[in-house]
Amino acid sequence: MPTDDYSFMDHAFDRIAQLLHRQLTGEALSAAELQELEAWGRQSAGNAALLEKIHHEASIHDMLQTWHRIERNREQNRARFLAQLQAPAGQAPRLSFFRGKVFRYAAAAALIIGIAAITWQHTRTPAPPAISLRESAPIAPGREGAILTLADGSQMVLDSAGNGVIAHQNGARVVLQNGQLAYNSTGGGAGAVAYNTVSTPKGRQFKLILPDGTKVWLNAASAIKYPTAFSGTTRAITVEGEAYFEVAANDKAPFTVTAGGATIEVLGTSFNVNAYTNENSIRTTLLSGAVRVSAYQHSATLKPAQQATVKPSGAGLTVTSQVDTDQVMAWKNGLFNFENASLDEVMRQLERWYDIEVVYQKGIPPTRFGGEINKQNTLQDVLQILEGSNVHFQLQGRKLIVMP
Amino acid sequence: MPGVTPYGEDALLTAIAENDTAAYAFLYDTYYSTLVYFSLSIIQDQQQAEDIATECLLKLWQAPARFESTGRLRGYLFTLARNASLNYLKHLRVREKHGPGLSDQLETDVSIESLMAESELMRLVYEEIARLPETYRQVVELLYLQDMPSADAAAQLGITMENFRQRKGRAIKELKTALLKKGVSDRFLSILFF
Repeated sequence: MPTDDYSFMDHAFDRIAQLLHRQLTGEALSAAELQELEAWGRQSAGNAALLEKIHHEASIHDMLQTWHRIERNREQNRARFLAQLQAPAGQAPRLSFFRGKVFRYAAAAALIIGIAAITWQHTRTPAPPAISLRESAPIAPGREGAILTLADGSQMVLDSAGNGVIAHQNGARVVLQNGQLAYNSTGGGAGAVAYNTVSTPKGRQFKLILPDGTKVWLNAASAIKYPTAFSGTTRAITVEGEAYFEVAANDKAPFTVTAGGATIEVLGTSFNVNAYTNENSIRTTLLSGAVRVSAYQHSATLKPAQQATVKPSGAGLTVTSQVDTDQVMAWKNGLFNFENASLDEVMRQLERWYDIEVVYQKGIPPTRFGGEINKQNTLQDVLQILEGSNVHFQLQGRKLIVMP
Repeated sequence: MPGVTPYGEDALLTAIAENDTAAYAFLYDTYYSTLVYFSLSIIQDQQQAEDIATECLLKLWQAPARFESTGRLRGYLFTLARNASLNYLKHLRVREKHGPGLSDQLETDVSIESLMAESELMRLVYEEIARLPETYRQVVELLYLQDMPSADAAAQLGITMENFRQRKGRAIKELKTALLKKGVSDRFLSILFF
């Protein structure tokens, strides 16, 4: 028990690890910090060897590969570890995270923060003055999260913080695991079809697995509505905003997605739908398999790397081949891809991810952009990169003013 | 999301003393890899090191205690891992009768300290990689961490070689911007891509 002597390892190695980490990522250490490392190196041959080692890329490579091999077994061992905790060792099974106090407080806190944010948005009275980017407080990027609306209309805030069963819906257990939502059928479902909705506000994206095993990645400011159990010969869902689907194969029950005026009929496949109402078209891009897109009495079957564009005006349906699928899928992979994008396209993406509002001081400048940017950057970092293309910005709270 | 702590220090230490399952899951997420790396550096057997790390955490579960600080808690776990690793070496030596006295040079706390620093350092560096956007992380993971030839890596990702080269190029460019903005030089990048 913790009476053993382990005071010798109290702090020193943390500090040393941090210094070495900074050195390794290329940061220049101060003279005092270098001296600190040297002094530590003199304390033992082992210490000196470590200081020497991190100057050799081959050793770093070995060390990281060792760590990576550990990480690859980690999930599997984690499950084993957790199972052993439940094993009867004369102790009663413990409450799961979701039933525990911590989760209730976390959920309550999330809710309060959510409500506070909404209230704040509606009551912010005198507008703060517009200031330059350098003076403004950093606006953080979006992250994982969503709101689940159950069949009875009650809502839950989904957070990536924990794992467990969060609700029961008409013969299915609703489970949150590693920040993603899934449905486990309990076989007892009966009666009328119940629908659930998962929606993301601006600044959140989310992954879920539908009752049939289909995987869905939901981009910011989007929503998906689906039955809690698929029965019969169709699997029909509706989507707003943008989502990427990896549809579980099932020949007997075709999967259909309704997005605005377009219907996408799926035959076991992966594809992306962009149907934001403030974009000027609904774009369906096929990654693998086959889908049929229908809208306004037209329809077309897509092959991989083809994109169908539907204009809401009913002007029909066009198919483009050889689209840059990396660009279409950038959002799911943690990136903005602004390759050949117009300024207003770029701004609409920023609005959704950073939860901001964009206004143009003198119309929309005809600038076009290129390249990719990590979505984990703060808004200010992204804007600074964009300013390289001869547009300028000011911030007024969460309102972004674009100037030529 | 890694790095987000659902607990304050005090709440965590209490939850551990009270055998809260979720707190132990959190404990595992926080210390498991470091403990395996640490033990592995001593005994050079990954499977055995994985067992030792898991057993250290289980030991705490079976006889929970209230620690004064998370530093103390971690010190306790490292101590368990050190003792278990050295014991394992002793058994090995007994089994091999006159095997080389590998453990002798390690039976001082001072060498152990450098291993702890190394484990902690690797955790920090690996986190840096884990934070990369997914497409870039995959490139780094396959090429660098798994030493996979480019052609195999492209096949595994289901993209053409041309696409793979493009992606690698973009990854390097993006990492450069991201790292430079953090005030970090090209050194880390050259470690990842030679």
